[in-house]
Amino acid sequence: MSAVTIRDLNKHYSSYHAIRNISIDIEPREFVVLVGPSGCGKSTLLRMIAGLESVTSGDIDILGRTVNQVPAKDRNIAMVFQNYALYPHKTVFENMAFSLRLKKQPREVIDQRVREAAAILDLERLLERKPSQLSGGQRQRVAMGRAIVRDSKVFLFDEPLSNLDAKLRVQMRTEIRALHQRLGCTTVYVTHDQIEAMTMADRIVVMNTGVVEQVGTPEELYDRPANLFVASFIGSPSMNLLEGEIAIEEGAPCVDFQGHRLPCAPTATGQPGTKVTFGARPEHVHVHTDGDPERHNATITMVELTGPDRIVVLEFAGETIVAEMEKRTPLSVGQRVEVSFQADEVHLFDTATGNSLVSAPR
Amino acid sequence: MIGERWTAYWFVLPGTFLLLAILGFPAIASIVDSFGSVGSGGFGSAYLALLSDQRFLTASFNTALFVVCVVTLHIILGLAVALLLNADIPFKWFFRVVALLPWTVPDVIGGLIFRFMLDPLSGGVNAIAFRLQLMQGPYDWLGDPGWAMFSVIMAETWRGYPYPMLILLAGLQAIPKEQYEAAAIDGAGRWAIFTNVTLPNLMPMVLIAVVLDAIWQCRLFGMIFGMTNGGPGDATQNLSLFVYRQYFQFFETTYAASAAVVLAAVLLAVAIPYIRSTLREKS
Amino acid sequence: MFTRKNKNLAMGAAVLMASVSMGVQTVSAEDITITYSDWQLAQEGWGNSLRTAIAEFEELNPGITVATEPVQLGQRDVRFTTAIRAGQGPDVFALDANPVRQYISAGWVLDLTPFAEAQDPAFFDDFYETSLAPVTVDGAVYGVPMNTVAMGLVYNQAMFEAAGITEPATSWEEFSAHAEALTDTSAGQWATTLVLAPAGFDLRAPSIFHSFGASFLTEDWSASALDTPEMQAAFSYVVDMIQSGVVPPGVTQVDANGARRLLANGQIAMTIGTTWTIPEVSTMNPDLDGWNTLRIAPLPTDGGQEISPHTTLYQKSIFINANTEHPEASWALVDFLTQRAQMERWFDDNNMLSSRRSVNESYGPIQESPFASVVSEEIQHGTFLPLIPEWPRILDSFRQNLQDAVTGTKTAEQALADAHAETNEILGN
Repeated sequence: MSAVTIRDLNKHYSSYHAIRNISIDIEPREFVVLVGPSGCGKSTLLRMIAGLESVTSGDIDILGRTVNQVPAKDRNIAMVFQNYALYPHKTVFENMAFSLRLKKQPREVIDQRVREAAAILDLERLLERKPSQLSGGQRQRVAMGRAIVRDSKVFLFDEPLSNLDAKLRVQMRTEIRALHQRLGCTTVYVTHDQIEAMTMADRIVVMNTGVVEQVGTPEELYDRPANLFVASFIGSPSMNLLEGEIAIEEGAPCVDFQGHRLPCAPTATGQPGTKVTFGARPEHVHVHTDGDPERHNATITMVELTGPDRIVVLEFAGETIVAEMEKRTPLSVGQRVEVSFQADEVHLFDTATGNSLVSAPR
Repeated sequence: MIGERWTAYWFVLPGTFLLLAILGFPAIASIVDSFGSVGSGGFGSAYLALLSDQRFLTASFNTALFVVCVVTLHIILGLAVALLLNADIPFKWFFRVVALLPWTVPDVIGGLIFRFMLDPLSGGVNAIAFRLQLMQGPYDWLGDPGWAMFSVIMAETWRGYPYPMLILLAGLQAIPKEQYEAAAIDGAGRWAIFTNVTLPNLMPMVLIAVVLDAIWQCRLFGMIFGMTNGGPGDATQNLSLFVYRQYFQFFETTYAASAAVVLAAVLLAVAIPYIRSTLREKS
Repeated sequence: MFTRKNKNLAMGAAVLMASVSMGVQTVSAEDITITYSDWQLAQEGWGNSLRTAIAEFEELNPGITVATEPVQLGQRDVRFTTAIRAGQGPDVFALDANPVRQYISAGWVLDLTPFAEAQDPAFFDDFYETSLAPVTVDGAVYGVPMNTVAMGLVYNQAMFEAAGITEPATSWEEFSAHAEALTDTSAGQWATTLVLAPAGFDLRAPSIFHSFGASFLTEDWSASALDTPEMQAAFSYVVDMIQSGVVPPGVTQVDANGARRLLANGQIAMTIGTTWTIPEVSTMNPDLDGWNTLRIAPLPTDGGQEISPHTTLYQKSIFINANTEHPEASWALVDFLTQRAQMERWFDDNNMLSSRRSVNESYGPIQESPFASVVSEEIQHGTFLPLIPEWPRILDSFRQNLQDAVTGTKTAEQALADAHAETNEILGN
């Protein structure tokens, strides 16, 4: 039995169709991330699971029970909000104890559970403080403490790290992941940051304007994006996309881009002449300086150093592409170089539908 | 910047000047007058006479009773209506307008309307009560000291509640929605949400509403004047009516001024802590 | 809103107003406007009568325009005193006897003696001595009396006959018996009412006290006389009467107009009133046929004895504002309103007696009227309420104590004792 099942879910706001026929199965103990650009419906979906938004059609099952009509307070889920939503007039202790007090738990139980959670989250010194006396990161931890104090099986996170500075975000990411491994609860996590999704998730659900573009592990999404949207959304710097046509060369299909013949993936299908989009991740753009005429010419327009690697921005047949490579050969702006691609590294998409034309997994 | 500050002062000057002229000058004249002599006394004898005047003490008691009752009822009623108006119901704008209507009734006319409704022989209240068989014969509500005070309190509760209600409504709308959601997720029912989220967040506004409403009700004149004119006897006579009577009916300017100064002093005592607390918040 | 037509109207109005104001300035210096304020301008019958008279005055005095300002009786002193204190106020105004001494001692009204004597050295001879008393201080006359009446018992003859009563009571015991016979609450009918609200209190309840031979203050107005046995008897009688159920509920809010309305609607059979009650009540309810149904009789007295004075006098006098800029024109109006011709009009229109003895004793319609003849006779048995500046305060304290006794907050004895103590306190005793 899955922990959370979403079946044919729809949500309408007057005339606006926010969630379109979404079906997802979330396994117990799984860390699932809902990711997508602003307005894609990920928060709406999360809030529908929480019971804070109503369902127009479809079903939501939590632990085998259909909860469409069950009010939020009876769903026994825990939620961490983007703005923490702490009770400003209660102490940290009382904030965390609130849900237990509502269930009329005995004092000793409350005390024990709150202190346990406080220990896990390093909040022991702060238990008597009020939220206004805490920093952003501390407040976020109190929000999480409030969630873990309860005995719920499903945790929901609504962009919890958006309000924190970059360094704190990285640190908290690790902490949340560690917490998940320790407690083992099913987690649904919403973010717009694909790096967070890639680093934290067991599985990622990529959403766009109310539909699910692709569900898969980070590797699946990265190596085998199902469509143009996922391909360009996942990965930073994003995948290079060049529009061309399928052509035949020496009996094998390839991509004709501005006269350049670019390799096709071996399992790609498509008729010659079909408008296609060729995709290559920056680390799969090979830059050469030995002047081999078999390769394609390009000119360097910018070089950025990112620690161990370099980002090289090239002008290739009128388009800008980005390559990521180790620091070895010296390169300079304006230098003429050659780029090459390998067939088993590149991607191919139908320009009209956006779908990947690569059928089998590699 | 110094230049900007001077500009600010120039802008404030006309209003300040007008206030001083219209309010300040009569206020100071009254205060000076109030220290004059009354009867056979000397300087300040008016204040001494007030202390031994049973009517003044009764008026003070009536004012206190009236203010406490009305303000309490205003907060309760105002909060209830504010909660209703804050909810997401269809035609919210319509209910908001209707909820504000009592406030639009001018005070003396409102008093007269209520007096008419409570008239023993031709008033609506008696007619309805009789038809509902709640009473046998006509009852003289405003002729009984207790019922007259009760009626005046009820009338002003109805007429004046929109003012604190609006303050509380503004406070309600400022409560972040997420706190409600977090409380719901924590398992809180309606009452738990009200006591743990709504009320604590609303406390500063409740305080403001109480202070402002108390000051307003201390000064109340028109409604009571129209409704009972302080009667029967002086059962509903508050300090405003007392001052009015002294000044306009008995032509006792010094005595009236001293009673007015006492009322103003009490109101200042209530207002000053409020002003200080709001100034402290700003800084 | 800003259509062409509306704009033109607005322009036209503006031009008209400008030209009118200019016109007022360019007319000859003789043109004066004075204001006359009177609470009876606000009453239907009296208002029309006064305005007709004033129109006649304007015709006779082409250079003078009179702007009339009605004012509610209960608001009259508030508005007058506020305006006069501010240096303004109506040029000519009317007052009843109550606050006259206050206005005089505050210097708000002009001494009219020079005006009167310049016109006719014997100007005041025709007025009753009693009438001149309230408006005269140290030999100077500050107001010209216009109407003087005494309070009596106004009763509905038809209701009396229906209850088997042939003659109105001459003693208060008889009155109580009549009251019981006239009360039938199931039919919504009561015997009488009392005015306990401020507006009109001064003339009605105090009349009952006078008819018991009681008075509020000692003869020299220096101390309270509320502790006399007569006053105690009268006070108890009034409180008992109200509590016995012969008056409609709501008596503490009834003012003069309210009492008249109850009589007009046939809800009470009797009230304390005077000649003006008849036209007022008739206007309120023409179906009552007041002129034929109502009658006036002298007030009953305690035990039917001969007590004098046994009733209260009402008087309306005309005054000139000390702030006036047109004393001559104002005097012309004052003189006009109190001349014989107008006195006859006041009776013809409003059933009001004159303060001029000659008019009351020789004007045919007065002599023949059943109302006027009774009241005219009663004037000699009437007295004014005390004419001292503290009187309004004393009266109000008394009224509030009476209300306390009526509502049961205090016993009658306690209320009267409190009124006695408060009165002495106000007088500085």
